[in-house]
Amino acid sequence: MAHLGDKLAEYFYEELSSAEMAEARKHVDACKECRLEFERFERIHLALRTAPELEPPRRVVFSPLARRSWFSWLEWRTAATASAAAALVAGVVIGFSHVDHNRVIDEARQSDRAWLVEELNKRDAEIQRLRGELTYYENFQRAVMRETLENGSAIQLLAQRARLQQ
Amino acid sequence: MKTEDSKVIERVLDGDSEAFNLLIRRWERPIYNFIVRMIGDRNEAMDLCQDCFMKAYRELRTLKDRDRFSSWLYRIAHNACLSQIRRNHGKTWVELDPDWGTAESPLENRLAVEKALAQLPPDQREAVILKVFQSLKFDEIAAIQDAPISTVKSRLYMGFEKLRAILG
Repeated sequence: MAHLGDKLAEYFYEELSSAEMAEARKHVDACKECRLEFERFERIHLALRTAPELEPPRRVVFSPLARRSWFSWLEWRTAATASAAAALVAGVVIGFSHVDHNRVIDEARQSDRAWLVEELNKRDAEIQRLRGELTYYENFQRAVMRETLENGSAIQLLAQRARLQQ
Repeated sequence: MKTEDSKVIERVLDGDSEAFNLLIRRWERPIYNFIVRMIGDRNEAMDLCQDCFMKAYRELRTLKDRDRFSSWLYRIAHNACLSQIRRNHGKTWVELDPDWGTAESPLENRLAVEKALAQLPPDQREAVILKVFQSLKFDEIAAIQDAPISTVKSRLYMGFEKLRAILG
């Protein structure tokens, strides 16, 4: 086998196939040059690894809006409007037909309810998405404010230096 | 077989948004450590880490391969770090410890390594961090850096050469 060359890192991190690993191991055992290269690589890897991991100063905050029960939404304006619309539709149907009125009302209520649930689910998802966006922009705003403060202090320092030079 | 991450992602996409916290708890520490080693500032790193997870949540539906969530997350962090490095361009690094060469305690070691890493170009620094500290495979690093594996290996070798010169 030729020298390890650019396969050294893959050999060190054991990312070669098992056959290649075996061949490389055999070669390193026999080749002084490759063994020295390997040891140099290992030394720098280990030197870096002496630096311990850091604990994040705080936890990442993520709190999506808790899903509300279907009934809690009934107090909402949309629900009222939808109910009024459903009543109107039912009234029209009752007024202009001679079929089973109770059945028509039931059907209208059911379709209205399904529509309402779908709409509320969509709103729920949208609110969750917006909360994520809001957190993102709050962080962005903090970053801009911090940068502004840094720029401000840099300008002050420059002004001070300019005054001293005059 | 599905990974733990992909199962959680499925739950999140099915409407259980709270489950996203499981992904956060699993990945916040590695992502934070990756970012802090890339940009050097701990507070900025925490803000960026927060942003990365928010972005990941918002764009979770665009993730094509759910088994590669962590690589995708590192890719988001990679973009965030590069933007931050560009914003910070021109700012000088604060001398944390002028006697880093005699580092002996874990704290001194960390400072010495941070200082040495800061002297590498961002692409080499990133290749070193992702390989040595985050223990990613070369193909994962290649996907994050959007570069061929051979380029990633070159960056690692060049980074190691410079670090050898700096750390002795």
